[in-house]
Amino acid sequence: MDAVCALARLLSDPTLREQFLANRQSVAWELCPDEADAAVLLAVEAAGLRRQADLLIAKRTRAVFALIPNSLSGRHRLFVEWAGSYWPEGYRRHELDAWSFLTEVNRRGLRYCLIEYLRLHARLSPTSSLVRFGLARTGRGWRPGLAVHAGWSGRRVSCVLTLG
Amino acid sequence: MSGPVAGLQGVGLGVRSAFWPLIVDGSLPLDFVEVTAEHFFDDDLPLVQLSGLPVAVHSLGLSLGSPEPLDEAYLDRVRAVAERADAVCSSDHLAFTRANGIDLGHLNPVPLSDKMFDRIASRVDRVQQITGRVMLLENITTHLQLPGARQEPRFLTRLAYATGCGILLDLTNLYVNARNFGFDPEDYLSQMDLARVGQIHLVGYSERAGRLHDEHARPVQQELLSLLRGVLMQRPDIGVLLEWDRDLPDAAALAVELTRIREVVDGCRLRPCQTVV
Ligand SMILES: [Fe+2]
Repeated sequence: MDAVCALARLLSDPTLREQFLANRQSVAWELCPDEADAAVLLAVEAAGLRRQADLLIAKRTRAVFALIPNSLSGRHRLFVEWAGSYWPEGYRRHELDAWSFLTEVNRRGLRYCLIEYLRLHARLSPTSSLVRFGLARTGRGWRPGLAVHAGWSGRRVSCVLTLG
Repeated sequence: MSGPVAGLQGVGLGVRSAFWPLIVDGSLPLDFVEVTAEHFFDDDLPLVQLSGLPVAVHSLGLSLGSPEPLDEAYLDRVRAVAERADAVCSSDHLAFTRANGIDLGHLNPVPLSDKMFDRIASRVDRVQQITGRVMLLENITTHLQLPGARQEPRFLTRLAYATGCGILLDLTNLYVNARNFGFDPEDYLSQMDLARVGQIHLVGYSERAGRLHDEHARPVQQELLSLLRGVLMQRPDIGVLLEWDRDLPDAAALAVELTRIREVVDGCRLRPCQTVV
């Protein structure tokens, strides 16, 4: 493996990163059989590697918080733990990241904001229909609601109806 | 080579949606603007409205340092934005964002080896061929220092000589790295052929726990303006662009910031200059 690929793995995989920092020689040679590539890894400073990895997650957290502040609020730790296992791809990765985190929150049976869910759905899958019950964070706090989205031939309709 | 590499001069601003109305109605003292390509991949904002000003197109995700082949579909989208904006140049970073099937979503450093030189040079050739525009390569900030990092100014200069590209000198990135890793930014600049610099990026840095960060969220500090002055004394014809992404200033504060930069630019232009040819 090329040194750049190995760096991508070390930066994205917290378990591998800690294994590497605990046992540099064997992990470096395992990842990079080529001497020049292994030398790049062996020269990496532990604190710098951790800082750069933390920065990548911090940038993601900030971008996702901008998209789903109500659903992410108070769950930064959960996001950081989860983020190491999922790396969204492409220039819409922040929206994909937020969407996947909402899916994870839902899988865990935790509360998320229906309005944020609908907004992301409309951006990522504008032509696919959606009807969903859940909780929405409104100016009066969390309320039960119904999200509806429909998209057809260039037109889109989205709304969240809340009770109370 | 004489004259500006990318044809950008004076003071510019990175286009953000909040700044759009101010740019379009001409209420800011600007000589050029820079659009981030990815912001316009899906967006139909009428880039033609910017045509009163020279436009530079800046991309974040070409990942020139990746071992995988250049993403041609991505490059084509950059080309399309450059054409829509009638851009004078395009730019991206001496970095990688994707490798081994993982999209890290942010700029990471590359080892500055001969192998990397050939890789980046061939990608720059391809980008310039597809976009039909001169490309500028930007220095990044990083917390991770790799072997050869101190060679960066020479590496960028050699790439410019080999490919005909220019350098996008981010003075904030340089200053942040210099402070965090303990080297002299002036020494870095003395190893770069400033004649190959086509544009300068500038924004205030942030400071936390004794380290500097390029969060694009603060007014430009005085020491950055001093660094700028030092470069422009040698090359007063390089365009200087203010980048701002978070905690955006209001129109008045933005105009003040642009004026502070313009005072340095104008001050250097009025001096007898030593343009490198
Ligand atoms: Fe920059």
